[in-house]
Amino acid sequence: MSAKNGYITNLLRTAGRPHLRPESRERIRLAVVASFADVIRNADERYKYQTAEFTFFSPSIMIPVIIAIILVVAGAGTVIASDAAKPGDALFGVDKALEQTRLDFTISRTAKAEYLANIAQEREKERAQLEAEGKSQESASADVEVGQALDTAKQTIDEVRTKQEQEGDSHAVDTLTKVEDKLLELQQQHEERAQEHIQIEVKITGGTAKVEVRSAGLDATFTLATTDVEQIIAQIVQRTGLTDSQVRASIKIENEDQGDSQSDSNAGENENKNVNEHKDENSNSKNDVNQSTNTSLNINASAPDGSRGTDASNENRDTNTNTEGSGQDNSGD
Amino acid sequence: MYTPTRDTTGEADIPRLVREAQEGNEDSLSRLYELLSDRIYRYILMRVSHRETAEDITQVVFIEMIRSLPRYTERAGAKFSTWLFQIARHRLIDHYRRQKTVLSLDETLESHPNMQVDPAPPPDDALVSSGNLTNLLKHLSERQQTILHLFFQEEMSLREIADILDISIVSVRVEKHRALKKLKHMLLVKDSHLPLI
Repeated sequence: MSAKNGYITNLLRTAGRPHLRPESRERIRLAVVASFADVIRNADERYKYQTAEFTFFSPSIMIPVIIAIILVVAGAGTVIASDAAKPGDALFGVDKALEQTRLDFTISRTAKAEYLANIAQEREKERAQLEAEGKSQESASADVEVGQALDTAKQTIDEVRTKQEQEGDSHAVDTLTKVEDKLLELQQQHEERAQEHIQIEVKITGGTAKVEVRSAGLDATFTLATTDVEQIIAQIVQRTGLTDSQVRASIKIENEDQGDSQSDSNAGENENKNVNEHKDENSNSKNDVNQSTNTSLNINASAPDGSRGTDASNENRDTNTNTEGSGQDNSGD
Repeated sequence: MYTPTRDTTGEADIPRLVREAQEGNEDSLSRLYELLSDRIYRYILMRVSHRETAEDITQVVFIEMIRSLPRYTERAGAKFSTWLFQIARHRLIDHYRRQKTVLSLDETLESHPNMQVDPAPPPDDALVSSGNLTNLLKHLSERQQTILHLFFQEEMSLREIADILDISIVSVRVEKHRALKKLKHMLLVKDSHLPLI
């Protein structure tokens, strides 16, 4: 059996190995070589064709171009989408960045100021939209954005106006005036809203003033070692970032040392003056503020001449400032 | 003791020749053809059993090789010849699709005397002649015939055969075992109806 097995395998191995006939071998070889030359030539032509016709469309160039196109298209979509973004939206940052980019590319100073005013208007529009949607928190954040945009616009306009006036460019100055008018309207709206939302309560007791500030995104309580109203206001402005006018419009002062409660912030300018006159009269008392009145302490933020309603009291301020600058902060904002 | 009879001269040069041919070297291509043409021809002849047809398919295989050469990449453990045999197998499949009928082995033998086995005397009784072996192989499946051919004639490893036939090594081993067992059985049955002569 095994002998036959070995015989079979040996037979299989040693079976005749037919070869190609010489003439067939040569014929096939010639055909193969000819085909090879044809393939090589075609490959060269393909290469030439590619290098000639596809110079600007080769993968090494086209792939980055295609990616760039996709990014531009996607970017354009993002730009369009971000334009409608409001504070709190994911694309709001993109919106602001694009505004800043456009601002950077705006060469004319007047145009720059005008664009900043437009940005402030845009913020106000966004805020109003959020308010209409009932998004109070987002609306409050948007209001902060409005305030910042207004501040930036006003600051830029002031700088530009100064330069334009120096250069005698009356036309540019006129343009700026129009822009400023536009901003003033926004400013008034902004401040009115601020009065509605900001609550500042000051309790004067034992020669110190305990201040509580409540507004959108702001919750601060601190104690000042002063009873001077101007110093208190200045400290509130410094610590909270609110504007002077916002503070004056919203502040309520209660003097427990005198058993007084001044909570009417809408009192008139004359009453305010009275307060300060009384302060002067009682300058010997560290803790006395507004000793002779039970009426509200009013700080008029909208004096016709633009000055503060407490100007009359400034002359006598030093009589009550023996603890000036030594405020004790219990808690930050 | 068995000694390989297949001419392996230049086998080690194949990878270099392939690389040169890929670079457009015609001489290297000719050399590749010289080294591999007979092997491919035999493999095809074994399947189609017709000389002219085998020659035509051999030519097609090498032309296909040229066209596919730029895409060929050398793999570790894989021979170029295995890749070429795969091409040959695919062209054979194409051939079978086009021509369902295969010429009889007898006709092939008549037209191709070299197909006969070497005139070496059998070890014992002359049970099998050259014609008998061919007739016996006819009773094996095509896959078994191919496996025996590639293993014993082309001296390929089981892995190479598995790659060419696109089957597992185990399948190759099993098919080879079954084929040999069947051949042995046919040889043992003297009174069988097989045309043992």
